[in-house]
Amino acid sequence: MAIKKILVANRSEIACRVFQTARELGYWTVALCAPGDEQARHITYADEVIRVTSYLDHAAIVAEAKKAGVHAIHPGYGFLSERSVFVEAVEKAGMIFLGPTGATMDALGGKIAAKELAEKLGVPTLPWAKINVQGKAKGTDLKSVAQNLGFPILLKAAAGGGGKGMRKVTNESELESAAESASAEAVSAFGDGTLFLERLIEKPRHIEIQVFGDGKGEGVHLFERECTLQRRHQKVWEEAPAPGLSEKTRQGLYEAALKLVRGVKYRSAGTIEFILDEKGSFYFLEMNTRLQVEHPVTEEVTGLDLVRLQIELGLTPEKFSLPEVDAPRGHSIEVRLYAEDPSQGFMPTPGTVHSLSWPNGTGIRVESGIEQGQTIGTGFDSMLAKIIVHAPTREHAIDRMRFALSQTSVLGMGTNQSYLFALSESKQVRAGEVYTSWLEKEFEYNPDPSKEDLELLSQVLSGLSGSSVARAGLRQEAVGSEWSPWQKVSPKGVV
Amino acid sequence: MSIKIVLPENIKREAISIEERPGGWSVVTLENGKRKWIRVCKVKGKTSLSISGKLWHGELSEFGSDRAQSTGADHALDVFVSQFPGKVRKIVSQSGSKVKKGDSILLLEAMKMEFAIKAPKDGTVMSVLVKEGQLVSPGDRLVDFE
Repeated sequence: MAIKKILVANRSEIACRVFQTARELGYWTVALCAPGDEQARHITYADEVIRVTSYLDHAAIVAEAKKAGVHAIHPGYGFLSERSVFVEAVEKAGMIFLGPTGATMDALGGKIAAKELAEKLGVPTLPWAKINVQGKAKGTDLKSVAQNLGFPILLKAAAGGGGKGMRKVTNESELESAAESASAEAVSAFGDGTLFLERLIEKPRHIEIQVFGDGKGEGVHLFERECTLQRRHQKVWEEAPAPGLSEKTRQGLYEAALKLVRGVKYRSAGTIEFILDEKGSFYFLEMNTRLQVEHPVTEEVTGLDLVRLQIELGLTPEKFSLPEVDAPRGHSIEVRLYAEDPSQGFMPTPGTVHSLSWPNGTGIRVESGIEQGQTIGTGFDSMLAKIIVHAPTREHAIDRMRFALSQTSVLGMGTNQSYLFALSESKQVRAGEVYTSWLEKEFEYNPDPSKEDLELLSQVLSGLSGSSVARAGLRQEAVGSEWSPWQKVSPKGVV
Repeated sequence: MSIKIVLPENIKREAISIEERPGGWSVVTLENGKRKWIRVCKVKGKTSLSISGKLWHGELSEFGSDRAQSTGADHALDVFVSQFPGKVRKIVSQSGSKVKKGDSILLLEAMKMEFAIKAPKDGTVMSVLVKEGQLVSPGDRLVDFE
């Protein structure tokens, strides 16, 4: 009997991740390669490679997959993973989509539709109201709706996220102009200027619940993750389970998650995001109808392979049964390594990986999209890899993350590794005293070398140059934030 | 993080040992006898180091060489020269406009991220040298500013 083929409509570390499980199950792995990814790690590790012009060209991907005799497609995250039109095209072509149905994606995709659905199913949502801002803002409508909700308020775009079309409003006088500019931004980003108002929580925590449904109305929750440490709506450090949650809040979250899973007859893996206020009250934010970047921390504390469950449900449903896990075991943390330099305003720093060494040891796991010698281009997302640790307690997990980062070495391009290392040493992170804008507002990252660092560096560099150091005579100049190998410094000097 | 360390002229002749080991590691034995295992990478004349979770990019020059004579200003970052390959997504402050320190002048895009070129001090955007949608390379001058 011919081996069945699984194609991953994605790239980098998530493609490599799915390939691992697919191989373990004995399937043939098929990769996509778009221009710019020719040297990529996921291309090295595939049984078959199909060239496409873009990871977003769903028609071409389905056509090529069909031609190649692919049986199932895993969408990864981002790209086409939450596009119902892709699911429909895959299924119409007779292939299996390893994820939820297109109908579920439509039901939960729009923010307003999802909120209304959540309310209908008895899941708490933030006090909110829909408004329609057309052309000039309707001053009186806005004001009365806002007054009912209570300030501070967050104006959000109904058609999309990522911070676009979002404005914080602290009082009535700011409302009209904020609505006009938010709506204009939303039109430019998503083609739709519809906004809604939501009560704003000042120091929220972002807690999400991993779920898995059988598509027939039953499902399980696989506990929570804390993803509060974010920068510009990009997650940086994630944990499972969430520290410092009351049992009441935990159970409430799990029950709410299950209501949604059962209510929409959810199929495959998904994540429900909630926002928590300082009192521990939680509110539904949105549901992500896909596997998430930070799924490894859930795998570590449950001992499950979520990709394996997705493949089994899709390809051998007669053998599939929902997993049963009594309680999470130990604590897991994941950090995301990005090609950016936090000491230079988080500037993107693509380049070539000249020297690479990943940490290994007990409780250390690396999900990497890069290989030594690979040139990282600018056409794709800047996430390079994920470093995950697992340990018996949170204290120990943070110690282990600090160790793993101290053993990590990616040289030849810029990364946020030193920033991540500083997070692992932060007292506030250790105490769990963080909220979603903490990284931007309070975290004091100092990229400048300390006196100790300079002493060490001068000795190391002198060792490299073959001469030694007279401490008294050493002069050092800390030069601002100059880094890049390809930088040309203007002869005019700084302006 | 990039630092420049200038080694002084009157240096002791006893070398600090550095040993290359398998796997791309080097071990430096410090003056106090402690060992540090590091990775070293030399790219285009600059030395990149990875020591215990911190990344450093250093420049090695002997005291008395031309490099060492230069002043700090010549080596400071010119924020109006592109540091990475990207695309000009939006021009926020037009040619001739007055800006305050921290104001965005233009937005660049690379790796699905937006990066703002900001005014390092109060001043005037004399001329924006690029167009929206234009692709830029490292070293391209973006803005004339005073």
